[in-house]
Amino acid sequence: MSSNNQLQTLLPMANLFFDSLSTYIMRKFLIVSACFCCIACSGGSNNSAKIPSDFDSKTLQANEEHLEQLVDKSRIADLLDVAEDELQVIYEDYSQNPAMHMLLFSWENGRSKSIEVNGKEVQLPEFSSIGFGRIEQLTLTEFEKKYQPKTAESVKAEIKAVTTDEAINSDAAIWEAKEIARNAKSQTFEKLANIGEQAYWETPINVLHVWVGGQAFSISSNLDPNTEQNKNKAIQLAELIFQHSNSVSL
Amino acid sequence: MKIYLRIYIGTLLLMAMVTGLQAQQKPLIASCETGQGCVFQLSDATYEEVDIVLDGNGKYANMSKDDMIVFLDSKTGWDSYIESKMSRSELDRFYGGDGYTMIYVFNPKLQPLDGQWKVQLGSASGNDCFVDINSIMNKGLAGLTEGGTVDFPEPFDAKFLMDNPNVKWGMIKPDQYRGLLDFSAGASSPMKLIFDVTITNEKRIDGTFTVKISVPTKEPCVSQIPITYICVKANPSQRNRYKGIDPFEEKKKFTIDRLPDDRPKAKVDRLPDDPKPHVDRLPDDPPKPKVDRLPDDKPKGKVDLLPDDPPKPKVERLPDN
Repeated sequence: MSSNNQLQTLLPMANLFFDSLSTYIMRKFLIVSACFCCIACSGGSNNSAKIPSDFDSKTLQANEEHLEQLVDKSRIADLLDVAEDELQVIYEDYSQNPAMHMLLFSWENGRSKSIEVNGKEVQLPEFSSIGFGRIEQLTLTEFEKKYQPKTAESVKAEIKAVTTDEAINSDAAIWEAKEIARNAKSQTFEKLANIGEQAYWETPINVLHVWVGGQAFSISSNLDPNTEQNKNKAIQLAELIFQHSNSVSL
Repeated sequence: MKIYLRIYIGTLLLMAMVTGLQAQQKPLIASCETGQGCVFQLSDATYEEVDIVLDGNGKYANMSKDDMIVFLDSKTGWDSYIESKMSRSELDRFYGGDGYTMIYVFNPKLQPLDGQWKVQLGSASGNDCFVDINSIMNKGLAGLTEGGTVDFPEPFDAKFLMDNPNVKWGMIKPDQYRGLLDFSAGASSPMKLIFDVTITNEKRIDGTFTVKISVPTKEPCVSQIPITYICVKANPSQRNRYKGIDPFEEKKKFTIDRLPDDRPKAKVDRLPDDPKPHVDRLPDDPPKPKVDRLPDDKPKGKVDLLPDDPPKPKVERLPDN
């Protein structure tokens, strides 16, 4: 066989070989990339907070007045990438109703802000915070109704309830009515999937409301002007709470 | 677009509804601390009264009824200003809170602890005047010390420190109250008693008792006597809200891990019992002597039975009426 003939024979074979090799390599690359994406997505997922199979929602209600039992401070510090001793803990249990209690973790974030006080500009250190609490026993229907989009009628009904309640001081009722009307302009609820059994993300207050097994709780996130960052951290905290609750006795 | 238009119109109607309500008489006070958010309480004084107490020169008396008075806990004490842009929720988040707020009729964070308290009065001091008030005050009160068990009302009410129906109490700052006794004569009263009280912390309350006597053509006589309340021993298991006690630190205090029992115990032989000494049995008691029975007493005399009572005479039954 002449060299030309050999070349002519070999070239297609070489092409075929290289085609096969490149296809093989490409396939492997795609498989590896897909695996990498899966790993990146599943480890510390930003979009889901799955309930462990042995999670008991009664643990939440049993500890509604001892919220510190339901979270691990060191894991929260890791989640927020803050030193544990920099976290300031404030237990907001001023109300007699445990459904109003919140456990707040705050820390100096290195930024500062200014305000005007009596004509002078005052510089203040800025704090970020993340909070958890407001545990309440609710049916799924009650939970969903609570976080339906506000309408003029629903807000009017809220204002009327506050201003006609004789148990509320009249001046306090007026202030509450103003706050309800003011918040109604911008309040939104986004339904989220794969977080507990049902969940809503409320803005502009940046609070995640989660429902699981007849119990509802809320997570506030005051980290960043970026709403998505606040949402992601809140979801991760929800996952931590689910995981930690398993180690808490009823 | 339709939905947004409906929301816009609805919001306008809502604002009209709220502004149609009678304006409130008392301002809203926000006590804020960076990193802890704000606590909101309804003032117990009107806008005009707050203006007088805070030396506002009309700033608070003429402020918008939609604005809030903010007390900011700074390093030098409480600074106050008027907040006109932010809502309660926004203000709470601005100072690092979670955005959830409610209105209290008190400040729930400023609560002295229950327990054993001691109250001590200092010496009176004041200006030289036509009446030697200082001597009068010192004679009766200076150095007086009293102690006892105190259960503070929750929420804290300064009236508890001087429960006199004629004393008018008002909040000057979130941690400061003033009680005024003017004997119902108002601002022109010739004699006023003023009790200024500051909740320094959950275990200390500092106060000043001021007597002011005014007479025409003379400088007012003023005498002040300091008064200090100190918690000597607090009742246990009270949540210390004043400084925001860390519940995780409290948890650590009550969790004491058992020391590991990793040292093997040494084998120690049982000590032999000591042999018991031989003790002779005590002899039985000697036999008792035989003693004859004493003879019976002389036989008892025969006593005759008493005769029966004589028979009763028969009396006819009276007929029934």
